[in-house]
Amino acid sequence: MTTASPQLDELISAHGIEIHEHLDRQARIPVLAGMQRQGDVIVVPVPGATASTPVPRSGVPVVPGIEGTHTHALVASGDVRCDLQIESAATSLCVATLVVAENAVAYLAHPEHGYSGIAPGTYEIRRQREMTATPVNAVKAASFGRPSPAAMTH
Amino acid sequence: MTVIDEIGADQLAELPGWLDEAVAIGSSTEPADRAAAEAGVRLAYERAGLRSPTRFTWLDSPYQGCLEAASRYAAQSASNVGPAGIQLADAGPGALRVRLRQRARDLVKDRLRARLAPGVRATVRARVGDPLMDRVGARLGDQVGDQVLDQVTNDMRKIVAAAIPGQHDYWMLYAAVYERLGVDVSELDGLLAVARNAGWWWAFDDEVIITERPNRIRRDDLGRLHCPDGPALQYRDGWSVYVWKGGRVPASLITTTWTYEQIMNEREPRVRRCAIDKMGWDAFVRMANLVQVGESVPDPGNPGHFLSLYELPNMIDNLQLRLLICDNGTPEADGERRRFGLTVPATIPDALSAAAWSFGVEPQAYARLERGA
Repeated sequence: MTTASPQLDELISAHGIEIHEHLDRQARIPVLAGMQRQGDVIVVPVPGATASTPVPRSGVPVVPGIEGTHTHALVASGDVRCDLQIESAATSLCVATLVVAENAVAYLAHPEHGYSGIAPGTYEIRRQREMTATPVNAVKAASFGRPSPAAMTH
Repeated sequence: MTVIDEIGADQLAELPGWLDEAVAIGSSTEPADRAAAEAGVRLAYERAGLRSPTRFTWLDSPYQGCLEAASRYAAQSASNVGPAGIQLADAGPGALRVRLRQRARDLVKDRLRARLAPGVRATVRARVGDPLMDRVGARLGDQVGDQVLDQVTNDMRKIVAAAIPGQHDYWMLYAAVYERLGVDVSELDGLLAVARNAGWWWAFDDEVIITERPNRIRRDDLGRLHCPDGPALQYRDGWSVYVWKGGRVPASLITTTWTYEQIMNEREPRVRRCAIDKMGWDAFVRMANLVQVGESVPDPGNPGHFLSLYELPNMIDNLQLRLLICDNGTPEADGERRRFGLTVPATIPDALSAAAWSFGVEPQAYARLERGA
């Protein structure tokens, strides 16, 4: 299974995440064990990385869309574990750890980029950053038309 | 009094629709329903134990409303000056806002805490409250408020803060959802009626200054306020807010093409970034004659495409930066690759290292990238 390269349209019907129309649906999607990038997200092989949460059939949004951008979702074929690194995400580039068992395949799926096959192994999934005056995920400061953030605590 | 400790599956399924309704109110470009809004104002005064105002002054934009409200407050405080020139008890512009809105909100908040289990509130907040704060509060109300603030003098800031934001009062729209879950929020009935039918308003003892909704809203395909050739938000008197991909910018940035000097002279880094984004980083590199650092190198995992690194003058975000120019790994619908710029620390020595830094990996490892989709 890890050496097979499924066709994009097979993956779409198996996992349900649609992609933009102009991408070739007959394209073969290689399943890779090395470092690979999907837009602003990278999959890095990390020996010894651990993850225990099974990836459900519906997939896991490893990098949810911000400001209306598309989500990078992780879907699984076989035994795939993925732990989201929610606490560290604000300070670290690592958004998730990933363990793909023997005979399983994980796919990162994104409407603009299609599907990226990930072979058995242990990985970290990281986000891209750039150097700016404000952090990538800066939460907007409160101002008007709305109460202070504390008001949202009830 | 029973505590609601869970949301039924049917109600859970309704939440997205209720959110959409609230966003539609916040985004409405219809003319105000003046009769309904005035009735709402009267009800709000009554619920606050106040005598209803007899005069309604309608204006076309929050900006006009703010100017008019400022002149009223000025007249009011002048009349509060006693014979010896001593300022009499001046409650200040925000006092009636507190009386009408803050108290009603506090009462309702207490009731929500008493009537709903924390998990229920957390669910409604996550699915309706937070999205409303973003889509109506941050993307609309804040942009309008910031634009007004840009155009008024400092001593008028308190007038802006004294406004009740009507359709942009996202908290009211959020609280209304609880009524559908069976909680009494009737203290808000008047305020909600105004929110559903008009724009920003200012409360006085016997008069209300109240404004129309915008008549134009433009967004990009990500739902951010955005218009590349005109105002993204415009009111019926022509008062406008210009926005590039969600960030408010000067009108000239949208209506003209900024020169290199204009970009360099812009004081706010965020706005410079918008101006460059509008012309494209690639065009900016040519126009600014940026000095390239080293050679362009093949983009690992993206055959036929290259990475290039440039020195940036000390002008973007007021940081010492270099600029990495790269092509998207996946073609657009027209077959073209979107080219984009990424800022990196000025200590990064070459283009490959810059791309590797952006993902926090070693350059040698990044050079062996197997795929860049």
